[in-house]
Amino acid sequence: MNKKRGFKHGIFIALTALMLLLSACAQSDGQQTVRSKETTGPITSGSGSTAGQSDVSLTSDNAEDTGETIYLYGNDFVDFIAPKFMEETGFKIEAVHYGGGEALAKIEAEQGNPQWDVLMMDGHGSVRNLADRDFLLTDWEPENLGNLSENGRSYVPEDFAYFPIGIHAAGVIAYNTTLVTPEKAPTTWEQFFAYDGPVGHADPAVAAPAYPLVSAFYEQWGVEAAEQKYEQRFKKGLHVYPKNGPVGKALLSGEIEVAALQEHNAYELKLAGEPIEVIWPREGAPGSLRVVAISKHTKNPAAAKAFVEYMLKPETQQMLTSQDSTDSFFTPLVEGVSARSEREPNGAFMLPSAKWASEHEVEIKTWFADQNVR
Amino acid sequence: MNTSEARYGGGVTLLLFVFIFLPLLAVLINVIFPGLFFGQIQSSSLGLIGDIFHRPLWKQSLLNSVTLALGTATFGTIIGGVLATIRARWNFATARLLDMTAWVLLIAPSFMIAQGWVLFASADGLVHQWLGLTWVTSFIFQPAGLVFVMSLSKFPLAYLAIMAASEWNIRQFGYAARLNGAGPFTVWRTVELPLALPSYVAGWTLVFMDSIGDFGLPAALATVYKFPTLTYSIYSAIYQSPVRFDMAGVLAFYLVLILVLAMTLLMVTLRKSRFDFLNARAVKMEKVKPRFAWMYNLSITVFLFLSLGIPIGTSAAVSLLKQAGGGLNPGNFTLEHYRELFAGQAGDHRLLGYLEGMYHSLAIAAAAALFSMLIGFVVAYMLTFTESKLKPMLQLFSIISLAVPGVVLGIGYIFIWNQKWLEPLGLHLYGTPSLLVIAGIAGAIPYAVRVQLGAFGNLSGTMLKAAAIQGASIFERMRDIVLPMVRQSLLIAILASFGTSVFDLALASMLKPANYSLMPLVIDRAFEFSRYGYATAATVVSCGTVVLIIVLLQAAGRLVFRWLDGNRKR
Repeated sequence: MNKKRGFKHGIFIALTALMLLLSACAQSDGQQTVRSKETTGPITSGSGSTAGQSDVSLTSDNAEDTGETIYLYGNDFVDFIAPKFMEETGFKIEAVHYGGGEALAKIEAEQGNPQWDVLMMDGHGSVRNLADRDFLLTDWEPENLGNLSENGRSYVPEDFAYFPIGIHAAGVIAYNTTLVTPEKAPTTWEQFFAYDGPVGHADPAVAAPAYPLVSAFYEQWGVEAAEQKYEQRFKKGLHVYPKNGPVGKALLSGEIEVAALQEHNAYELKLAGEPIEVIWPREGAPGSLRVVAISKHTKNPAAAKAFVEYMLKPETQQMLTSQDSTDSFFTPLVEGVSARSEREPNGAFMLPSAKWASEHEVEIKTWFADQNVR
Repeated sequence: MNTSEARYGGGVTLLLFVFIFLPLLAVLINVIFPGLFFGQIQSSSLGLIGDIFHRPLWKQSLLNSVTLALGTATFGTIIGGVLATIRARWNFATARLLDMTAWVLLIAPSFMIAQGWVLFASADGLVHQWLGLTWVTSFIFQPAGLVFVMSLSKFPLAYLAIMAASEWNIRQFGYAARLNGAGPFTVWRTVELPLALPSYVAGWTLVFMDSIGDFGLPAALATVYKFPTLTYSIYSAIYQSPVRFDMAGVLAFYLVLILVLAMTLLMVTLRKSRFDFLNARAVKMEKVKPRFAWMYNLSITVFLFLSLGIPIGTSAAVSLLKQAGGGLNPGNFTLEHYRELFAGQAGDHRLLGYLEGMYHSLAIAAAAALFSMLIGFVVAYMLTFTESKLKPMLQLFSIISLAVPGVVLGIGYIFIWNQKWLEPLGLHLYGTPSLLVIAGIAGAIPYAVRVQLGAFGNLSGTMLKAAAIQGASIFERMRDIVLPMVRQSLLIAILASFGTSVFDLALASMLKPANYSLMPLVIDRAFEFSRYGYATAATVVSCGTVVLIIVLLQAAGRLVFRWLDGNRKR
């Protein structure tokens, strides 16, 4: 009898210790970050934990402000844009900077209990995929949607699951001028795949713009033909790097002679005076569409919607295109915003439909990862 | 057995169960019911188990992991065996240096060592620019080269295991054989080797287990060379798209399976090969001064330079160069990278803030070390001085996490602590620093328990019984009798767990909270973004800081103990 009671007692003590430990940790987490005067880290257990999901059915005119901080997951601009948004609207926002594949993975991991409110990333196919699986808030039309250019409007999905912000080249042809003469350099994607020498690009499993790159080829040539082309390309020498930064580095070091490189990395190297030349292929560069979407379970609908409206304002987009950093290399999709002058002004884009890119996403990424180890 | 002991025992058993065994269980359950942890119950018919043989990526990961671990274990044991034999038999100047290196390598995080090698041997690495040796690149970046690199950093496990066994002089058996006409080699083959075999197998298994669970090397290689291993594929199944939690669980299951096999081998060998050669005539090995001492000294120095000098020297050098490719001239030296570390603002990426990451890592490691020591103390007490029914369970739990790699523990934690129903209880810990502390505790428990068991072994239970009869409570017995006797080893246990958990890249990668920087991740990320100067400067500062903290705490501990004793005497 006694023993049993002792054991129960033990459990009680252990649990109390556990709770103490956790709340101790929770308290240690209200640290000031270096950059913004915001507390970091999601709200943890113990002190001031969040209420459960409020599953309020939302309509466009009833976006309630719960006062909660919203979490923005994204791969570019997020660190820069969050404080600006906060300044302008007064809503509290915490930006979380991920790689593209990482952001998708996090959203997947949190599906039982989403921690994010707004997502802004490259690759409308992946975001479409999230929408099809009911992760996103749909059927709400932002007031600023009218600001979009004609081109931008054509990318808006019927169910308003996400909203286009800008488009940039997921890959242009970049070559090392010390190793490749202009005559030898490929000017079309066909030539790129046939190029005699090592080439490279980023990994679609990791880098956000790399799936748009690969999927554009697949859609252009059809899945089977594209797979054949890639198989041959792997045989001839195709180096796949986790992200575009290392691709650029490899191009400089001569490990690869030609790369399908994201445009801002390519222009960055060229502008820095490195021996790199950029070609925007005639048939178009695979486009990476940057979109913004709201979580179905957002804890503060008002703030999340305000963020979308904010991203669709011409002033915001102009601010992004006039940044010093190379992230500003993109075609803004809001009317009346000028893009950077160093870019190819009339570059065409190859962009698979969101539906196509979403349906083939898992298949293409899986096939690619498996090819890549052979 | 009285109630208070049962209370303590039940408490720690439950804690160990939740911290260590439950995540492992979750990984196994996930194999049978994938989706269970995401709110869908579907039995899998175990189809996923077979997937590993169909998908090239996973097949290759399995193959790479096994090849790497087998190669490293074998080569590492050879290195460790040779060194231990020399060290036990001869007396030479660099012997102490060798011991020190072994310990440094044992504690050094593998991702730092691997990054040093990458910077040294890659196509634009130092070996090219300074020495112009192009063959090194092609040698290192292939499976055999990785085995070589890995063996150079993992051999201490074998070295220490074999060292412990070669302390005893068993010459008399050798003399008997020599009298019967056997040559020196025959003596070694037929007498000395069989006697030493258990320690060799133990060393081999330890290196094997450590290598197959290693996450640091593939993580450091990821940017320059495609070499998927099981651990890295588990990580990428969770952090890359398409996301496959179910598959990460299955890969983890395979990893655990291989580890169980290795452990079984270890147990069987140890049981089978018992020779009672330690009889009344046993003497400690006398170390002799060898005839060519300078030869030993030279070769050991060269070896130490290779194993520790290259990776650490490269990191230190790169951290001082403006441009890694700029060569060795006075104009290329800079302290800029170090300045940048302490400037607080890490440019384009928020998560590269070093100071904040270091602060977080140190705090988490300190908490983990403290708690693991406390839990370890109670566990060791239960195991040594009580007849609790929970003993076998405690034994099992406390040794399990030694064999379970951080990546597997990480995926198990995600399964367990990412449940929606934990939210109202305030226990939804995934994505919070608390989970990192718990994971750190789980990782440190085996060390904490082992060290303290060793210390408790010298205590006699009679004093405790006497105290109990006088009416001392269990807490008083722990505080007034056991604690003063084992405080020194307690301190060492704390410092050891602190030193290892500060640098744990695997758990940090798996469980990183959003926007929460951690020192190993800062270094790993800086490396990934090719900011080598920043990454290496961070490495140098981190190692220096941790060593300094450990040395200071040890000195402080000594002073405090002396002061306490002084007070007692009065």
